[in-house]
Amino acid sequence: MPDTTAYLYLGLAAIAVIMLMLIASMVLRYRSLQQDIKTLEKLDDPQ
Amino acid sequence: MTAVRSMPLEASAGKRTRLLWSLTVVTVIAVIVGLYFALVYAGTDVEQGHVQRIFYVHVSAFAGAFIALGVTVFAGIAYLRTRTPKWDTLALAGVEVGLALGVINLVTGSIWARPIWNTWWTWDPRLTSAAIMVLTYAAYLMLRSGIENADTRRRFAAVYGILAFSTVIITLIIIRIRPDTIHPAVIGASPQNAEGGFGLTPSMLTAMGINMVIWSVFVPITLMWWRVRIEDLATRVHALRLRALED
Repeated sequence: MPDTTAYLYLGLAAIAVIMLMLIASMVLRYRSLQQDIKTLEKLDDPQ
Repeated sequence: MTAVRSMPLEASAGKRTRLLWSLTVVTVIAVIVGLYFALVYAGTDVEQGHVQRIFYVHVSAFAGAFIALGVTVFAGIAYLRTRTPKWDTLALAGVEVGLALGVINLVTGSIWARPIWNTWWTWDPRLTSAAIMVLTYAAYLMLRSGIENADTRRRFAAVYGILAFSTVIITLIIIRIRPDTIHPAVIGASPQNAEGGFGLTPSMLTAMGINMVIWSVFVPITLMWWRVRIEDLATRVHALRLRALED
């Protein structure tokens, strides 16, 4: 049986990187928009 | 009166948020379980070694992309019929998630090919069609972000999302209609020239089935739901900005 374990690890790392990039971009956008809402609501309510 | 009316709405939103978080936790656990079946439970292919285990995610990621991009077609048709922005939001979510899963499919395929085909890439019909599919949906995101007018953007995106699905269909069926492809078919008979094909033993079939369900149901639904949430927040920010400008 050929030893192709290194390629399996590389594949798993690639899957992890792509998924983490997607999730991180979503988390960053979510946080940024929540911050925007807080700021805009403060502007809307002078009290 | 307004407070009384908004209470059921807020309760419903809270319920949906709890449901989304529950689904997220279930999906994370499901992915870990799927990896266990792929990496531990399934037997090792004697000809290819451990790299064959990539196929459990490689094939399932394409199935997930198919579902997510199929949702884009459904949402695109619904938008063109109703002109309701929520369908455009769902279509966009489908493309972002489908594109990520398509990239996973393409990259893992390339990594598998290196030890099995002795090359990272070859202009095989299946690989070429998969690359065109990914580029078509990357172009969707770039083109729609360049259109200022919201109605035009949504209409364009709906039509593009429907037509772009032809690249998914071609990628799916090309190994059945092009005899010169060397890409093996995991489900069903492989083409005549296929290199690197393998028979699925019962443990491999179980691992494949479990991962197919996880990557084509749980992963795309959870990610699309979060993506829709983000777009809803963006819409709220836009409305608040307009109100602030009017004041």
